[in-house]
Amino acid sequence: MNRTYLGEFEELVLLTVALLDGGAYGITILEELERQTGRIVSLSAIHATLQRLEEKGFLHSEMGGATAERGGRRKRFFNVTPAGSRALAEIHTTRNHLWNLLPKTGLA
Amino acid sequence: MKKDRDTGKAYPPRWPERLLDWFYPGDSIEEIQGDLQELFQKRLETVGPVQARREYVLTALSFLNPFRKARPFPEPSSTFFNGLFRNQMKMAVRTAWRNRTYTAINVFGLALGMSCCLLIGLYLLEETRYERFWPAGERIYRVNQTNHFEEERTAALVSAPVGPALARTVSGVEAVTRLFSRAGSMLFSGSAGSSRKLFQEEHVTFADSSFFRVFALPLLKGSPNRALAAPGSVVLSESAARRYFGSGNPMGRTLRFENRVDLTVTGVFADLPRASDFNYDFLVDFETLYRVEDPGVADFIRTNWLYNPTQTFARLSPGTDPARIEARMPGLLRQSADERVMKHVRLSLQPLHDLHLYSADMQGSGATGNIRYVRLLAIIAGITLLIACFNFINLSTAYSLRRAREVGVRKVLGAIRLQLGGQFLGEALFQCGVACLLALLMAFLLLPGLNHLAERAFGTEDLFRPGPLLLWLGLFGLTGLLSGAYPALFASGFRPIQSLRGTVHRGRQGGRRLRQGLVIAQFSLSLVLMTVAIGVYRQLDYLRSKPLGFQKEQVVVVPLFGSGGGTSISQGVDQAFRTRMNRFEQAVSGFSRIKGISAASGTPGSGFVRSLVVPEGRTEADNIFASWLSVDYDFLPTMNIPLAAGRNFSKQTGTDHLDAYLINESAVKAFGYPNAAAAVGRPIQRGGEGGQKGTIIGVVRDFHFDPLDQPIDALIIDLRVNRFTGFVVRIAPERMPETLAFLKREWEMLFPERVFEYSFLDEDLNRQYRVQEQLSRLLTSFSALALLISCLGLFGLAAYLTFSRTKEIGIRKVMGAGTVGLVTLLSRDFIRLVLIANLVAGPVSWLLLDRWLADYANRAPLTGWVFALAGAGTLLLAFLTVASQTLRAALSNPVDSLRDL
Repeated sequence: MNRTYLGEFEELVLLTVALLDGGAYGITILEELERQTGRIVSLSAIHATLQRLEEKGFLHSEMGGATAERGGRRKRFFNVTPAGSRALAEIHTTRNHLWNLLPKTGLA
Repeated sequence: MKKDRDTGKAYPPRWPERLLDWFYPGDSIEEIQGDLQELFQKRLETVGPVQARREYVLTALSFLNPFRKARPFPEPSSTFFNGLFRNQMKMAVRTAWRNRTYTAINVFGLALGMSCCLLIGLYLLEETRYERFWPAGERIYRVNQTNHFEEERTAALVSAPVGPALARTVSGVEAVTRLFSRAGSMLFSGSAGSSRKLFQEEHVTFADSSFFRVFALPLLKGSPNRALAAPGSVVLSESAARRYFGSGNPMGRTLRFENRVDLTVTGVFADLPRASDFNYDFLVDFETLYRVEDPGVADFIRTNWLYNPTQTFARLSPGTDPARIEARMPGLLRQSADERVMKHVRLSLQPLHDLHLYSADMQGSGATGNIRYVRLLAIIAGITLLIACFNFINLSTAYSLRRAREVGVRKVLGAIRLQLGGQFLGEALFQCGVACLLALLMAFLLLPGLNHLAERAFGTEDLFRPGPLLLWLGLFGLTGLLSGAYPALFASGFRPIQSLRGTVHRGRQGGRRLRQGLVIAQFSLSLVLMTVAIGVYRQLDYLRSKPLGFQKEQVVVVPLFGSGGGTSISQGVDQAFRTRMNRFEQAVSGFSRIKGISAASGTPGSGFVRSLVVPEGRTEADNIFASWLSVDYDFLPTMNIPLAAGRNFSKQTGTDHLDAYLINESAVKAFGYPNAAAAVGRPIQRGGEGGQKGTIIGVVRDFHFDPLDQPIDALIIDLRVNRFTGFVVRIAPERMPETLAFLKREWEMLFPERVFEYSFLDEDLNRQYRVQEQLSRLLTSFSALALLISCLGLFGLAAYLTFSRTKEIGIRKVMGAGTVGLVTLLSRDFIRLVLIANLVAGPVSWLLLDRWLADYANRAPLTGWVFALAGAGTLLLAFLTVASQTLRAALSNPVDSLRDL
């Protein structure tokens, strides 16, 4: 499999999109990230990351759901592609594996 | 605090949005602006308007990172395909399938027309490419000679002294070569490893050593500078070399020509391309010609400026104006010091590239092309394509009426006319494309037909050369636009309200007038083609079957010196040869199935040489010419030519071979005698000063010795043995092969050095009408095709119109209409159109035929039945076509058609 490097922030955004399950677009991702991680995140950073993830093939987007509070503009909704879920699962497995190797007396 | 006047809500500043509009690259401006707006609204509630606004501006500005990669715009074609275009494709396929008959007719008709065009185009393209392969061919010219004695006649031949004089005295001429073509026997006596071979060669060409400086013909073997330098040299074509020497090396071998001179092979050239009228296999140095001919004849050729047996080609230096060379010609002719030449002869230059198409009427040109036929064919191709396009337009507009609702709905949904026009044009182009592919397939299948008609040898690969392919693409574009544009304009112009209400037909006649006009045009064109075809065929039949005044059946022609093209001049029958001829005649005439044999200077049918004649009471200055034939004693009885007065040549008098003349009835008139009997016994002289004086001993009935496009000329017959060129042998119709075998055996015993050749006179005569025959075949094929395409269109139209009147027919039937009445009602309109077409086509084809026939002195009368036949045939065909549709409608059960009313 083509191993594409996934940065820390990218991983967070990707996970958040997966978490939001179909309802993911700029604002919801921003809010969810702030809520779950407590970080202050810039909207432009999120947009840039989403676009990068889509280019890497981990996300898929389509337009839809215009509301009045957006001035009638549509949202770009994001979904995790199979490649995206596979990448997440792999990272998860690798980390678990590493955690399991860690001596009990160590960090935990 | 800034608030929206209507909602009372705060709003963010406008300018960051503008900024993004201007500077944010790529395709994500919508969601970014939307997100910014939404975020602002949320922050408004939590942090208040001032803070929200500040955050808004900062976030917006943070998007303007110059290093940000733009989200690419989606591929335009993907939405194109997914959206409108996909829908239109779907509609195109569905409607094409729903109206399969119509689609099939449309595509098939168009494909037929296009394949015709493609094939004719293929032929025409090759016609215009003749002689184009010669290096520097645009600087090569042929010298033509126009004689002006009784009438103007242009020949592609000039006298032998002209060439050298031109090369010597006119500047701007790089090189000149003369070509003298002559038939003759060629013998290879064999050597170790190869056997003796004797062939009669039709095109042995004598050329000056400068030949290769005019025609840069690449030599496979030998050097162009030396190949024709030495007397007795011959340069062979590759295929001729193979014929005589097989795979062996021909260089330095010896061939014996006419059993008179030995020729040494000094070079071999590659066979010429197909697109050339030059047909020489042997190039012999010009000086050798004088050794082949008898000394007297050779001297005549060498010095006479009036006798023109050679084609002469000049290569001008670059930038030389041919008109300047032509202006020097009268001065050149003054070298002849011959009054008649200076007064009556004009020399002109013809470009090499024009030879093939523009010298059909010239004597001795050997051109196989004719610009008249090229134009005619181009017109026929155009007509066929036009008829096919008319079909397409007719059927497309008719069937687009069925789609009026679709157009209406599309318009209501916001389609503009341009889009709809594009849709219909696109569908037309699509059908055209399919037709194009089909046309290519048809052209491939019809290629043997073309080869048969045009006597060519095209192969499949010729269809895929750049020229024909370009033509093919051009045809696609042309027919697509020609036949697609109007229907597109028509269908896209339906008014939505009318079309949705279903009243398009009434609203604007549905293009009925145009359709009728096109049908009339189609049938007029087909009818003209058909009538002309019948007329030409009748004339051809007339020419072939007209009694000629002599016996042409069961007459075998045996040439003394070999048949063949080129310039045939007197070969000189000397006393020894005459004795052998007499022995042959005696040996042969004893055979029971040989009814007669005689020698002559020519055979009737292809015309004779003309000679100056001085009848009684006239002078040389009167310039009276007559065709001149020399025959043996038995010629008249052998050919069954009756006498009108006087007697035939007789051996008894002992002086007939010196001073006796026969003339024909036309000559009696031309020389001014009241009747045949009055001419007998009168003095006459053939030739000018010092000519042969003699007496008219008899008058023969007129017979057609010229081709039938000419009237019967005055004829003078004498008994000059040395002009004889062959025997005519009349044989019994039974067991001909045995008779011919007998002739061959006797021939080989008496003339072992000559190949026995023979032909049948009637076949020779019919061969003269090859051009007319080709024209007739061509016209017949294409008029049939044009009619077929027209009927296809009529069929489609009748099917459509009958279908759209199904309910009317049902109601009429319920009301008691009969089948005959209904068929009449439905067919009447169509038949009326074909009748009008008849009225248009009649006079046009009459004019055309009349003009064509004007070239013929003997013409089949233009009778009404030619037109009646074409008209009635077309009418019947049109009626059957329409009736096949209307009858079905008239016979259908009204319950079926009225059920869903």
